[in-house]
Amino acid sequence: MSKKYKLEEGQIYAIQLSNGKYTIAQLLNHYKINSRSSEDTFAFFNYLFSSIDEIKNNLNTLRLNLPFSIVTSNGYPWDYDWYLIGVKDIENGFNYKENIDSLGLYNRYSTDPSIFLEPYFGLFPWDGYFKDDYLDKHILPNAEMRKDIKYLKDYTTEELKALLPPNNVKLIKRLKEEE
Amino acid sequence: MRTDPNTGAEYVGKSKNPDTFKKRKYSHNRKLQKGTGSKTAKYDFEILEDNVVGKDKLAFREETNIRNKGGIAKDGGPLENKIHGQADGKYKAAGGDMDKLGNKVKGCH
Repeated sequence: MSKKYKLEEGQIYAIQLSNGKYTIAQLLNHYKINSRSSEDTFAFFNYLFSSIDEIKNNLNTLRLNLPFSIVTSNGYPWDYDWYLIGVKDIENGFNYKENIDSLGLYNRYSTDPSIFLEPYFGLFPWDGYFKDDYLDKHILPNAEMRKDIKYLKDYTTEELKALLPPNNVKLIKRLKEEE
Repeated sequence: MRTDPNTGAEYVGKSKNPDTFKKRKYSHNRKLQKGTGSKTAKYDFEILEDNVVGKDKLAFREETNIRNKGGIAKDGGPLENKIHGQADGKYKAAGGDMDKLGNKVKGCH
């Protein structure tokens, strides 16, 4: 866990993925529960970078008007070791605030962003959760989908055993098929 | 409601206020990761209802949502909950109209 800091709408974070590359998120909505806790909603973008310096060097030219996902996170940026890069105006083209409920959650649910970030960037099978379309609710309608998204069929059983928790239903199914 | 994306297992719970809800999310995820031995194991959380005021009303709404989702595992339902949100008698006395597995009970309002 990294150091805590004051959260402000517009903040940009670097998120390291499991392959060592980085993507970014922007804090869209900071809903204070009390002086110690908050519900925070982030936008996620189809950008990949090799380093934090590369993000910093390109920060001014990044277009942040077309996120592929907007979700409320279960934890705070420091819980996930996200690195605070800076602050930019929120460019989002639609009124996302309308979807924030009275408890500060976007569309009434919260998640851990790695649940969809790893599959979106091709590092976890898109259909690896209990329902093949489970991730649809995490992705905005008409969002740009990457061409390097992978599916269960693209992984060997050994690779799946390393990626998925032992109680994952798709892993259990694959192991049974190979018995 | 809590969902485990890896198994599809669901659990209906209640929180007295937004602060305890936030804390419960942490503790549920920690327990899951400890139980599975996997740091990638995480839950999604969905608000089924809010603005429910009063201990008894909260218990009633929790039990109503448990039954709406088909009931707890002990009774043959799909939810991971080990116990009910409210005893059957109290639930019916408060106006509940479903049996423990969520079927509408004739004669109830």
